[in-house]
Amino acid sequence: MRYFVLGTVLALGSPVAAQDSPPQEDPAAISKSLAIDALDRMAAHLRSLDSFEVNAEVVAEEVFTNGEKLQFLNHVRYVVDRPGKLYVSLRSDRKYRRVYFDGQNLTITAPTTGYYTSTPMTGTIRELLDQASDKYGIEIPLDNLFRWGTEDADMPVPSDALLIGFSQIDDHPTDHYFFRAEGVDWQVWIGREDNLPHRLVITNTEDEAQPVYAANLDWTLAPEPSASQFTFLPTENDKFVQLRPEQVAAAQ
Amino acid sequence: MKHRILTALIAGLVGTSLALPVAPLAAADRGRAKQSIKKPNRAQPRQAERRNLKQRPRNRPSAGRNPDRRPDRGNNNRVVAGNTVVVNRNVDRNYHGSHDRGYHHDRWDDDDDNFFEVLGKTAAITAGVAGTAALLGEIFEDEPDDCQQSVSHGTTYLYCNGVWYQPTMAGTNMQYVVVADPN
Repeated sequence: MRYFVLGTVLALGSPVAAQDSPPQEDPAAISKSLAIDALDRMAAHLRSLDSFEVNAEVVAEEVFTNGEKLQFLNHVRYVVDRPGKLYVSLRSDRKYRRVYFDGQNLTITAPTTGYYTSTPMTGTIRELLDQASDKYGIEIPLDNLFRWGTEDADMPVPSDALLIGFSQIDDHPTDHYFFRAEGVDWQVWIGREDNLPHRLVITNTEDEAQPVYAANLDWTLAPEPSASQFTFLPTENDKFVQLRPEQVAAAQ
Repeated sequence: MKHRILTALIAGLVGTSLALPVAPLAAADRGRAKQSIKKPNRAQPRQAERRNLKQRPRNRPSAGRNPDRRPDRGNNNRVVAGNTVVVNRNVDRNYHGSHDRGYHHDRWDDDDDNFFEVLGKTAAITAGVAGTAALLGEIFEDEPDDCQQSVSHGTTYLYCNGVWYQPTMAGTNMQYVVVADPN
């Protein structure tokens, strides 16, 4: 009787196992799921950081009508104090902006000309990014640093993912990953010791010339920023200007 | 007979491939690198087309990164009914060397990251200069020259060559909107 039961179980069990096993042992599928797990772990770690500063050295490409591909350099600095304080400085050869968010107001300044604008805005950093984008068309580069690990309809689901291998970035041993989604490929170098992204490369595959945005990220954890870091105090030389709503700017 | 069937089959295949829907180029985000990882089609798509590296702004299509949000690009120096909005910047303030081709941007300024601007700075001198009549609501991305600053009800205005402008921020770009005398 016991043998009969065992035999039945084996007989029932084996076809099921045979159906399940091929996808589990598909190397590509395993590799993809490992890469996505690594991205998820990094995202969870980013979510857990209350306060950090990131300095990004960026190369951004632009492709022109005759196929000329040019590179432009810029520097992005973030100072973050969760849940609701953010400072961003964006500096290129042709443009310099500082963005202040203290949980009450969003302020953008143009330090070289002294123009600044400010509008009431509340919420978390993530909510700020959404409001600033939807209402005013303000796009903060590398905002994935704040969106990863959250439910976000704008974040693409990778159709492909792969661990490329080891890579040393300055003092940081990292693992280099590749991800593919509709219209965008990206590569992330995740620190083996600190589980932080040390390099990010975003390839625009909607343009056949595939312009790239590449950023090396330098992290400072727990920088203990002062409260004044996130609030802009205009001097007498600063000139207030209005912030044009997205729909007004688009309608004209 | 066999040959004819094969030909018909090939013709059918070719026909099918030609009939396949081609992804509309206009819906793509082309030209610029993406500065964050996002799905291509948002609820409010902000697509961009490639810009022309060599074309002069007068002929330039309104192709900014986001033409839908930067509708005025390419319309600088537009001549309307004999009147011209003069945006005659002093090019030497920001540039050295020959300005002819516009590739001598060797100083930092604050004019957005549009390096075509040197071409746009050639003064739009036409017969209408003396009695310039700017169009209310017209938008410029370069700050006009020879401006006097004025503050009215906490808002900054510029009075430049007989035209009032209100500097505004659109996204993170400066825009100068032609307005009526605020006083």
